[in-house]
Amino acid sequence: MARAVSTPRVTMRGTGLVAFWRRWGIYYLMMTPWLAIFATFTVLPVLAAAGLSLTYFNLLEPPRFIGLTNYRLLFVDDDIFYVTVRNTLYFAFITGPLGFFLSFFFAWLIHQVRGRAFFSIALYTPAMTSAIVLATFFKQNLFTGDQYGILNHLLISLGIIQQPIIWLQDQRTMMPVVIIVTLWASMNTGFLIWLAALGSVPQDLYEAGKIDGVRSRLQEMWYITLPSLKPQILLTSVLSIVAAFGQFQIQQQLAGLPSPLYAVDTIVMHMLDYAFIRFEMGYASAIAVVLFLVSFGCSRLLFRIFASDE
Amino acid sequence: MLIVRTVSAALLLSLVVPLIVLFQRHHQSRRRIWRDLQGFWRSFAHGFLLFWLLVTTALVPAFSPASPAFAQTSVGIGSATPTPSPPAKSTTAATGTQAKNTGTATEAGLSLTYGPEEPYYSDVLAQWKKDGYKNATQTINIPTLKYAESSGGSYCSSPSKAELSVEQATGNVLSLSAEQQCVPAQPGITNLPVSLLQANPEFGNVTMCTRDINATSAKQGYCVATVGGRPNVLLWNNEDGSLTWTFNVQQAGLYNLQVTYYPVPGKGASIGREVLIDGKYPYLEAHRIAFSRVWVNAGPVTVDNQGNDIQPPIKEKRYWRTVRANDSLGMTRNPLEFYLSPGQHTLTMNAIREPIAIASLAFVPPLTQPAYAQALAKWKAEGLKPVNNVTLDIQAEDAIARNDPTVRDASSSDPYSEPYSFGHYRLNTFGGYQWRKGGQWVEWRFAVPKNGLYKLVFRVNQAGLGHMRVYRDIQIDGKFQYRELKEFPIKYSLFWENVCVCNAQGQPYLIHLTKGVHVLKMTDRVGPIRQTVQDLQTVVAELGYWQRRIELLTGPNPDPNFEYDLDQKMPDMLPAFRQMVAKLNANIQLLTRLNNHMPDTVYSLVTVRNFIQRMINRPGTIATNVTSFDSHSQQLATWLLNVQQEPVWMDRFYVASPSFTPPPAEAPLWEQIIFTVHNFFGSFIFNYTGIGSIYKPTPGHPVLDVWTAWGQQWALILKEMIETNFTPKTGIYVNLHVFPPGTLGGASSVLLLALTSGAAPDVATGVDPQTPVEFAIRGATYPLDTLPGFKEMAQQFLPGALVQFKYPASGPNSHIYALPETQSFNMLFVRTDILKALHLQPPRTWEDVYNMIPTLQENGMEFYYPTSADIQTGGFGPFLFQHNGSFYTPDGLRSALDTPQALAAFRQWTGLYTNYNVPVQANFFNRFRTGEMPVGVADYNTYIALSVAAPELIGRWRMLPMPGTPRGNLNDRSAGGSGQTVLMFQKTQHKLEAWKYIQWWLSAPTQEEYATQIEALLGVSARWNTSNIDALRSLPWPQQDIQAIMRQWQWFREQPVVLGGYYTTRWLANAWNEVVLSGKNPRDALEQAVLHINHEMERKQLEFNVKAPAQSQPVVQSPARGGE
Repeated sequence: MARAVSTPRVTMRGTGLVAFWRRWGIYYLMMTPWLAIFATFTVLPVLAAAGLSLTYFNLLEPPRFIGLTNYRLLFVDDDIFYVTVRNTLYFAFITGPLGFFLSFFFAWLIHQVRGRAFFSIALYTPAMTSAIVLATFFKQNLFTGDQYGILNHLLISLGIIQQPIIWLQDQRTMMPVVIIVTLWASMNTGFLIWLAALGSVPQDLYEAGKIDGVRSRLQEMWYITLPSLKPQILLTSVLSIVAAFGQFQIQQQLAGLPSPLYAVDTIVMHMLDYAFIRFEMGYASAIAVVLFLVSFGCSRLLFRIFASDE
Repeated sequence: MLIVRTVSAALLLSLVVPLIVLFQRHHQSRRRIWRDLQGFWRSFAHGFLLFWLLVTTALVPAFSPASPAFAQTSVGIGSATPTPSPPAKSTTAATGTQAKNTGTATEAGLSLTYGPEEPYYSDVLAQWKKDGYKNATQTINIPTLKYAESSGGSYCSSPSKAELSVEQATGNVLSLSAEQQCVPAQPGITNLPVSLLQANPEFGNVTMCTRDINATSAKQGYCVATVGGRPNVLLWNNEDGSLTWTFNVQQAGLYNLQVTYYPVPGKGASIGREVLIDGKYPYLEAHRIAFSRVWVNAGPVTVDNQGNDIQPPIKEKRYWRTVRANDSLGMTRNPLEFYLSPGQHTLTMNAIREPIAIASLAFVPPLTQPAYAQALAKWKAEGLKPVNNVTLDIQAEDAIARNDPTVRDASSSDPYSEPYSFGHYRLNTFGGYQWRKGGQWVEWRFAVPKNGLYKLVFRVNQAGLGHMRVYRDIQIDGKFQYRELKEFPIKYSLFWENVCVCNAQGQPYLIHLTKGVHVLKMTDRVGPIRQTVQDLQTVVAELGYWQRRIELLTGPNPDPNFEYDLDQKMPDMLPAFRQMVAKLNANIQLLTRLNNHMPDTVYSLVTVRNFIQRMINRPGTIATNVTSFDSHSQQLATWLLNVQQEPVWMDRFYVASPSFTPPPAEAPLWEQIIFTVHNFFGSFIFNYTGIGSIYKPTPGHPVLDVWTAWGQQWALILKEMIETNFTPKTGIYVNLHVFPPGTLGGASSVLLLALTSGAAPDVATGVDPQTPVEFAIRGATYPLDTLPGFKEMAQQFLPGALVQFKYPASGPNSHIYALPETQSFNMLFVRTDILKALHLQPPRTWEDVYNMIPTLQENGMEFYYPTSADIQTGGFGPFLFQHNGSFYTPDGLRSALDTPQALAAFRQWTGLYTNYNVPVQANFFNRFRTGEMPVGVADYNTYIALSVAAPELIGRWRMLPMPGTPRGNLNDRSAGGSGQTVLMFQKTQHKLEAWKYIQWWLSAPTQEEYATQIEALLGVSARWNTSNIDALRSLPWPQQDIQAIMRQWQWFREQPVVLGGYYTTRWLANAWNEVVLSGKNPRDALEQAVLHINHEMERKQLEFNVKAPAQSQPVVQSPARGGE
């Protein structure tokens, strides 16, 4: 039984900056390298984007202040934005939970067998390859639009289709293809976290559960495993949602920027279109700020739902 | 098929079982069953996971039917011949062996043949030897000046300047004279045309022709001149024509053809001729006899101000040479032998390329060399002894001469290569990948102090030809001392080795050197692999031939469940397959024996052999596997290309006493570690991004910053040319920085970011064509037409190309903001052999194409037209221009795609896919090779790929102008092509100097020299498609191809770049997508697209305050205007 241990009270001798520094300074100093990089590469760009979003900036001439016009036009006048939002949400809600479930499923499978290290490395490798490599393979080999593409050939020889399907240009098939490729590459950090977390659930819980009448593996998972993993669920879901909002690499490599009829364009691709093809960096910064606020809001919401009560 | 089905079933099963187990109920009382089930579950989990991995990683290639996508991955660079032009007179199918192996089949109107025109030299020679013909002993001199017949022949000068007429509007029609200015050789001609002399300033060596021989004959004549100091020689100073001599033979036997020739100034390629005896080619190699030019360094190796070596320039050394006619590919071991029976015969020579002057022709007895044992005995009898205490170390980079300008010094960072390159680029080795083609030779000079017997040791690295040996001829003073020096093998090794000229037991082959200076000559030879190359070239053609014959019976999509009984319907099929397997086996054994073990690369042959063997074992599966024949054929063809390359890096060689042991070739591990660490620290010091010398600006000496987006080697050559041609003449120094290709332009380009941050250069080259106007709209690029001398510059390019760089499209402020640097072109490619078999003519108009498509499709073939995904400007341009439409209104402010012409063009374009079933996506290069797409439209890159990497197609394809639309009595063949550009930035402080640089860079002489050097260094695959018309014409194109290009360029037209113009390409692609893939009505789709395009254009016009004509569109908001 744990005895309550009280943390020693540290008295602050004196007040003011000097005392503060003497007490906490060393810790801040240790954080400075990380803080510096974080400030330069994360905070500063966010602030810069916020600033640029209030201007008209075509990258070649100095920016010019125009107030909230960019935001107004974004919400009122931009049709493509809504298409991209729809696409992004589609991705987020399909690849998010599915990827989540797949990671968990595979982590759980691996947990049952011997040779965990081998399988976990093998399944993690797709995530390590860059989007370009992965997209090249899928674009040039598996989903090629002529009858020599692997999938087309398979389906034609099975007799399911007669003419090859142009996977990456046909509106109906682009989205499923991109989702499949994203899922394939989605066993990344989340998956590893699951793997580690599954090992951390104490075995006596399972035994206790069996005594109490847990009848099948499914019930085991629902009543014991998942609740024990609540912090990990929180972490992975936050990660995956935030990642889902910022997806664009796979879509760009597979379908091009912009994709035909904007069928798989995401918000970030829309932003890139405005920034570099149309030379409207101010507008693109406004999109970036909106995206930032949305993902930030979502992650806070998820925290609220899944935060543990302890 | 069965495998696929069982695998799919297994997959489904393995997905279902875990789910069943998941829901398994377990009770505490049934603990044992539970434990059993757990074990069961575990093994299934194992199985499932393994299966998942296999599916996603390893088995995926197994599902592919050996698709051409895989066969395309390794494409060898470097053609087997110096220029890929097919010989002028006849086709070289280069396949097949004896005449009895040619196959023909005429069934169902499709006539197929394969087989060579002539047999191979090795087979012919073997036959002659079997017939008992011996080497002759007499010499037959041929009176060179008294030729019996001549034909063709004309004196030609370099092409004249194109006459262009530039029109204000986007259209243009120009007249280019594609022909060179030629004077037919007439009897009685006594003077060469003056223009001919002016064209070649080095012609000073050649005085005017003194008299015409055969003045009384009515036939055309060639010229007698004084060349290179010798009077009264035959000057054959053009690239076509043929000459015939008659001569009398007294002694029957085998002779070599000895020619004393002078390499008259030409385009720089080796001189190619064909030889016929009695009007017939004795063997295939008689088509490709080459007389080399000799190249020497024009100066010493210099060092730039960063400490890196600069390749010395090379120049040709011209002098009279006596050689024996030999194959240009280095495949024969000895010079070519001709059998002559007693009596009168004729010798005919046809020109392939380059001019030549011949002083004498003779048939001489072939040379024989003794064996080493005999030579050694002879030397011992003369009292020669091995020398003592002599060691000469000669650096290989001090080569004095070579016969191919591409064979040059190379740089190696190996620690033992002398001189050691610490972080710098030092030319310390020789050869390497550049010295890889058969027939290339190199000479070195050295002096020995004593008369005696020496040993040769080379420090080489042969890591080029995977696990196989390469062969070099070693000659001293132009002679083989014994026959073991012919085709001396050099083993493969990942490391540097000291290779001594020794036998298999390690005993040195000594060479005899008298006191004084000697020349060592090493020639690259294909070696015993020639047998493999010949045999397998047949197999390559046969596989394609059999595929087509089988497809005649089964159709292009054979029914997998039908029994075709192919082996009974074609009784010659299985024997032919068995022969192919026998050939493959023989060659696998040959290669294994040559290299003492089976090299890895030979597994390709094993794959093909196993494939054919499977067909023989189970003839019922041939029909379903018929599509794999071509992919195996291609695999073999690519393998053959690679195996004919024999690169060797040489650092130095020793001429020493036989007791000499050379220092170790590779540094020991600890030394290598030290060197690596040394280099690592060096990487902080050295500047690797700049090319060549980097200058700092000083007052009075401006320094230009030029960014170029081509590769490193392109930039090195450019820098060299700047230093030697530009800076001395103008006094302007240039700092050249190189960027990866494609990064200067496009989305998020380096240029854009540099401009934003203020680090932009003065001039940028290699920029994509949309960027100049996009930047100009925002005031970043400088209008070039305001600079002096622009009009003269502009005339050197296609006016249709300049349209893309004009902004605004019309009006008083319209300026041109860039000049084109390279120009691609979209042309029609046809397989002449397949079209001939189908009795089709290459299409000239789109109607011809439509008439041709049904025939093609009946035979399982297709027509190819690239979609917008493949060509930058999309395939729509040609149709639009041929219907006399345009993309925008003349003021460039509204889209003109709502006109009836545009709709008709759009219907035609999408109709190709919806009505005529042209495939939407296809790999044209591969399908052209296999013959599935014998006709198609593609760009310049495809042309280069076909020229270089499709050796089995030599002579079987042609490039033609695009199909057109008849208008009046013209055939309107309008089409465009992408390219790269050169532009100048507003912020530059050296405007006039930058303009001088651009003028110099884009001028014809500079572009010509650059193109020659690039092609000399990197081969035909790097041919520089300059946009300067004159320069392009001067490159060594095959005559047919350059004529086709010039004809197409008369109709060159491109899409202008306007405000918001990027939307045109985008929405045209979207409209196409909707019509072709989703079945939308073309008119609807196009009108929608026009709406969007106009909307975007107006947005941009508002942004830049451009007044557009009134329109009845909804109000457009632009953030730049505060959303008014």
